[in-house]
Amino acid sequence: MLQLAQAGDRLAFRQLVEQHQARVFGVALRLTGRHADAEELAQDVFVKLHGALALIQSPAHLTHWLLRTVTHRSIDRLRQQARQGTQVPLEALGETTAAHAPETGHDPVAAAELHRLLLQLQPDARAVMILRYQEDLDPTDIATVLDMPLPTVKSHLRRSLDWLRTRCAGETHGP
Amino acid sequence: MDLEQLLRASLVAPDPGAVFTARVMARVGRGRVRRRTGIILIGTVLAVSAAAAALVWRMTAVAPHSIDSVAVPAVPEPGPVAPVPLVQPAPEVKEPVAAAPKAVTPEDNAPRYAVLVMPLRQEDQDLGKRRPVEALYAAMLDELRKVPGLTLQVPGESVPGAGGRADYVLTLTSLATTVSPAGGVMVVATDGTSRCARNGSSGMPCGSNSPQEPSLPIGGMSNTSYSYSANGSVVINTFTGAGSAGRDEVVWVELKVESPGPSTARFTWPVASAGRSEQRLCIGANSTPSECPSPAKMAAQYIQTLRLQVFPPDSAFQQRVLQQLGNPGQDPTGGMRFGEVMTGLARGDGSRLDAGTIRALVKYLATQPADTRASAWNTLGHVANPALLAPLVDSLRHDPDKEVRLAALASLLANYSADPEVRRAFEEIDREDADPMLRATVRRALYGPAQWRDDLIAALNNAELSYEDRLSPLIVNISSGTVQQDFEMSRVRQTVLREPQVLGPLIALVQEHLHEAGFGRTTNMALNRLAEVDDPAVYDLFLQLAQDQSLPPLVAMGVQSWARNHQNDPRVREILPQMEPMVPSGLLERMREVGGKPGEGAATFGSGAISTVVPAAQ
Repeated sequence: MLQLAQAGDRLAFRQLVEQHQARVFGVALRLTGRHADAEELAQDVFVKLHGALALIQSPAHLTHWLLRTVTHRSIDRLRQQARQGTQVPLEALGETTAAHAPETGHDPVAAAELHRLLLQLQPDARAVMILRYQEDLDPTDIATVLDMPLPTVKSHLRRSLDWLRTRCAGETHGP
Repeated sequence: MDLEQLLRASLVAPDPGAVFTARVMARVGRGRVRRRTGIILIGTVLAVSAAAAALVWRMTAVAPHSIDSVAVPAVPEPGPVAPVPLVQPAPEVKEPVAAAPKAVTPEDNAPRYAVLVMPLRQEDQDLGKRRPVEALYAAMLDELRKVPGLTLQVPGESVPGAGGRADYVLTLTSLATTVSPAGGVMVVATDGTSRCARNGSSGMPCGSNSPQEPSLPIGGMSNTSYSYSANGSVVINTFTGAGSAGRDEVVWVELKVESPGPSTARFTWPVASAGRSEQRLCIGANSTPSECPSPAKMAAQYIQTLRLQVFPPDSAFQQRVLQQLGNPGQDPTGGMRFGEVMTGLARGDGSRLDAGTIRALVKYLATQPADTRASAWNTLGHVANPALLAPLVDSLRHDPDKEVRLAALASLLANYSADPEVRRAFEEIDREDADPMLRATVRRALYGPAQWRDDLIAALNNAELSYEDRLSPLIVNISSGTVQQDFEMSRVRQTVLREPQVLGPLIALVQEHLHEAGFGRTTNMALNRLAEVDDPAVYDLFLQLAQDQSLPPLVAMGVQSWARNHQNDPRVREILPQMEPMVPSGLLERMREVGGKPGEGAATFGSGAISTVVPAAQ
């Protein structure tokens, strides 16, 4: 499929988009907490991919490229918003995440609460958690995707999990 | 439940749905960016930031700028404006009248706004690199002066009667660069961030797997590079469409457009955007005029884009751009690309789509190929503008191309499904149209999921229909416009597909045509639908297909997609080695590791629209 897309086959590229759009949109959504931002970022990533297809060497490279690009762009967006003082209010985040809560068969209230808590993490730590638990990447891969030292990834994972456990137990202070 | 399990269970990536796919494909436009190799020695990237509030073109609460700026009166815009005359000539009269009606000119109707252009900022210290940026800056000022309704403010210029208030502030900056650890070029943007802009000597693509490239490449929609060679020619191209061979240095330019308003949010913007591969801005004597727009020409294109996508909507201008799209040879600037124009028209709440612009758009589309027409409706699919209703209905009823009709149908369903005229059109298609896909789609819209279920069962069991017709109700893929509604449609579909009288005949039908390459696309779409169903029979089908090396490529794609979404299933893991190279390298090892850890088998991997959880013990 990748080769077809690289040869200019629009249907194949569409299949690539369909195959990866949940992954890319999902990472952007969990990172930014805003559906509109996530859709814009995810679209940008695929448009960029279209121009960069020739650079993609394998399906594995494609997945890595997409995750890397969407993660960095989302973090950039978050930092930009932070600089401009336009952080999303938490009450809005609750609505956003609930509206797009996946069908997991688990308690949707608990899931929405977890999403809300994740959005309180710092962008880097949030990205690490999403790549670990949504994309199931191991810490080594996360370090590569995020250009982050492996010990830092592990530290983020440990501290974020500890903080989440504390918050789930009713504590109120942040990590 | 353990916190990590809960995280995995709740962090399943939501699929944004068919609307998202359609929007991406619309933005991608008319095919891949063409490449040109050779000449490129020095490049620049042009990224435009503008406030989201830029779309609200008249802002009343804009604080005056403290700088000493002056206004330059706009020059009236020459040439024909619209395919439909805006104003009829005043009738000739023999007797003098008290006051003859004044003819309305384009500039009379043009929106009024002020643009402050800050002095050129040169952060690149190379004098040779600064010259083309200076030329571009000067040409942009000239172009801005020609825009009707635009009051240009330039610090240092002295024109009596100038106001100090600006609706937009433009800043053009040549950016400094540094060398990345891998030898590539790092560009330092005005916000202080550094990005990898060009490959290093390692040969690894910029921003790819190389851990030595610490940042992303500037790329995608907002990545337009400006390159010039020693002989003075300058190439502007999208970075991602450019090879790295033969490049020496890069100077990058950032164009920031700010709009002081209540919102401080900004977005990056392409000035020469997607679809435009490369253009040479000729400055030196050795350039080839046919290939190299002058700085003035390039600046004109940039200002056109700003007018279409950032500055307040100007109907006369939009109509002229659409007219020029159909006659590119008559456009002195070389014209904008269709994708750029559509992106601009569709931006925001659709307020740029006035009746005159829509008339011009319809007139243009009538001369264009089907993929352009479909792309237009896909791009405008999220714009709910009543003026679009009639052309959409007309396209649905009469366009000769099925994809165009489906695109129009998608837009109508998303925005106007309750309109009586739309319902009449749907009923007419249901009664009379020969296309089973269109009929199935409108029937679903008209009569709801219960009727759709009956139609699906009837079609599957009707052996007199063709293979494609029997699957038409199944592969109807019209989004209702929101992610939530897409989820709901998917849920209904999964419920119906699990019914024995649906699933059994469907699997049998698909198996019957699996190896027929001519039906590859249809089978692929059917498999995508089946992949949504969590049922042992579906598993068995896909497991069987995953080991079939003789499937047509499009069918194999559907199987590959399913396998990726179920890589945590031990049965899928068992056959993964047979599926290489479809499976990403390194993943097998990870899956084997996961498979060896008790309790980890339930972990989901990937983006699966379906997150089937299979215990490792199975």
